[in-house]
Amino acid sequence: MNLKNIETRKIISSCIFLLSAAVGIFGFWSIATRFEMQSWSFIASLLLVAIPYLFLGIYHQLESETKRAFLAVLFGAVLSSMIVLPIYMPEVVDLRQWDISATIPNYFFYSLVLVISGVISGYLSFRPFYDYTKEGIQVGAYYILHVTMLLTVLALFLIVITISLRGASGISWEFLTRDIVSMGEEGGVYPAILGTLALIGLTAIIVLPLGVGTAVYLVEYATEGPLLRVVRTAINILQGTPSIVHGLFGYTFFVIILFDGQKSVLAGALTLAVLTLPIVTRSTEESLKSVPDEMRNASLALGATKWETIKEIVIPSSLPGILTGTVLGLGRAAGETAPIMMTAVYFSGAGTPTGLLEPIQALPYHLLTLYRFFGYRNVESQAWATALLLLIIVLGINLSAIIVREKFRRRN
Amino acid sequence: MISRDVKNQMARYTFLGIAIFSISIIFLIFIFLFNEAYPAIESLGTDLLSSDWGTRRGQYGLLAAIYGSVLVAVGALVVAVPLGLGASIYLSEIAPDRLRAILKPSIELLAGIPSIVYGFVGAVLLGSFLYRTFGMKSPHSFLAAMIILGIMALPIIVSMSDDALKAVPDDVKDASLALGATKWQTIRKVTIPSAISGISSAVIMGMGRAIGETMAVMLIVGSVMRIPIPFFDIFEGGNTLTALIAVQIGEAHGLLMSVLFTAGVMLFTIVAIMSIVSDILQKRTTEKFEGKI
Repeated sequence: MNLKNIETRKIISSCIFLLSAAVGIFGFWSIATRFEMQSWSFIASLLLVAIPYLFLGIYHQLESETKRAFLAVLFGAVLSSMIVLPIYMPEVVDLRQWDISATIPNYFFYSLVLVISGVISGYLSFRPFYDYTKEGIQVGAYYILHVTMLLTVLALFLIVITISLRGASGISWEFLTRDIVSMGEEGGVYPAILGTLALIGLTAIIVLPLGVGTAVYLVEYATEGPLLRVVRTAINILQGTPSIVHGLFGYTFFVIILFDGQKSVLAGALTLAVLTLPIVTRSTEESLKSVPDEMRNASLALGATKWETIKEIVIPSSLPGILTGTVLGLGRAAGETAPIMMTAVYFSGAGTPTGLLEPIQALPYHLLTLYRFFGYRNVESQAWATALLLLIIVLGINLSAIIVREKFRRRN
Repeated sequence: MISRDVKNQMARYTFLGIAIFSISIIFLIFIFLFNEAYPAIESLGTDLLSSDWGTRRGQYGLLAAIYGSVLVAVGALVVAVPLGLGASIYLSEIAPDRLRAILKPSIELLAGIPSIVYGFVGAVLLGSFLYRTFGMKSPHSFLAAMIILGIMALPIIVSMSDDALKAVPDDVKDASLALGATKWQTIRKVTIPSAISGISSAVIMGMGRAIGETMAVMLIVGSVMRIPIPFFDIFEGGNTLTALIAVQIGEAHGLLMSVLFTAGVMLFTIVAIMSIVSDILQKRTTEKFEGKI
């Protein structure tokens, strides 16, 4: 075998890449399944990756590139030495000796080493393949970026898929239309669905005029100045404020002061309205600003008053943006638990709500209650089904908003 | 019949009224929070910052919760930043248009997954997985909270830094490519440095979300009001400011209520500083290129 041949080098690098990809995937799979690896399979897989690097070292030595030869051999040697650590010195991976309340089991250590060495040697294998040019570095870097994208998508979709798989069997017509029976062990979640819908509806009714009206004033009437800047900053801060702080405010202000200590759907909706107000205001402002001034001026020049211009020109052309923002805000409100936990909901036995001043049951809180029964009562399938239902409702609301926005974007 | 002029004036004052109403609600929240927190700050003073918590003994030191909040948020960033930045660079610079048209909206869509759902999955599956894997004392741990919060912060970081990277004008990139740089060299030396303030703003927003997250953390982290020993032992459970408020508020009254409001004010202040800094950074990105195009 002539190691100086460029074809040989390509074969070596593609071997390294394929092996390291296999090693990385195997490692990932064995973390996920807690696969108890026999030490021989671990040694074999690491050696498979390490040996081509040793070859690469020999090749570079023949080319009298001492530095690269040294690096390749070093990487191969480090990989092979990883074998020794957990197998022959298992106490090294026990963190208890440093007062940390955990131990790293051998299989986890192995799997992690496999994943990391797989990614690193995959990255490195592109360089010899491209004869150490900048293109080789680019391909290697792109490889890492692909891996991060894959992991990001995997992490997010894994959650959705897990919930779908575990929850799908629990969703039935009965589940959607029956009352909560014996603390959620049986029956359905009908009152919780109704409660969530009532909360979203009331919140929309309260927040829409306030948010849109405020945005119209800020964009169309108010003159730029320090006061306006303070107001904008305040709105920004309120948007970032943790929802539990809104809950704290809602509980003491609406429930205790306004409604005399009585939780109610109205108090919950008011709290959620305060929570969504900055979202609606900001997105409305953005879409009002995107209406070009030429349109306003044309309308004013034709003799229309400012109000007529706003009503006939500005609001209709920014309507999709306003709707998107509002619906996204409501999607967030539908999934919030912390603010309604203290203001609107009570224990699972609740029936269907009858009035504005009555407490209700809502899906997010129902899920929380069911989780608390884990281990005491047989609620698992109901809990997963509730999680799935909540996911469907919230993602459905958001999806409709995103579709409207994309359509609007394409039209412009 | 009301004349058009009167209608016009009426509209103006209606909008003014609505704006004043909403803005006064916003300021009411600020004032109310500080007002309710005041009794605790006045009577407890610096005791609030001690690590001694015991509601029966009248000890209300919040240090353990503050430490927990910061620890969890930093850990979440360790998970989310490498993944999120890599993914956003891929999305804005490398991904083919068709893939991008699918990936960007779906990542934004997944930003809407409710926190209680994350918390539920984290507590039921991740918590017990880590518990069995690492032989920990309990299924509640900082580690599990960090991982779940990291995943929760991912969509924000990806989508915001993608926006920042996309805002870098093509002329700047083309100039670099024309000089013979590869695409990756352009990304590393031109695009990322130009978008760095937008990217940092994304990271800060992600951290803000992690600090303010309540339900997910409450179910996973365990509500034990103490600082782990040694302090970097992320395999132990603990508490955060948000979880503390959520757990205690049910039975709280009097001084404890005021202490919880103090915790709320602390959270609020941290997040407010973050969102102001993030806003300034974001403006800097847009202003940077406005004069040049």
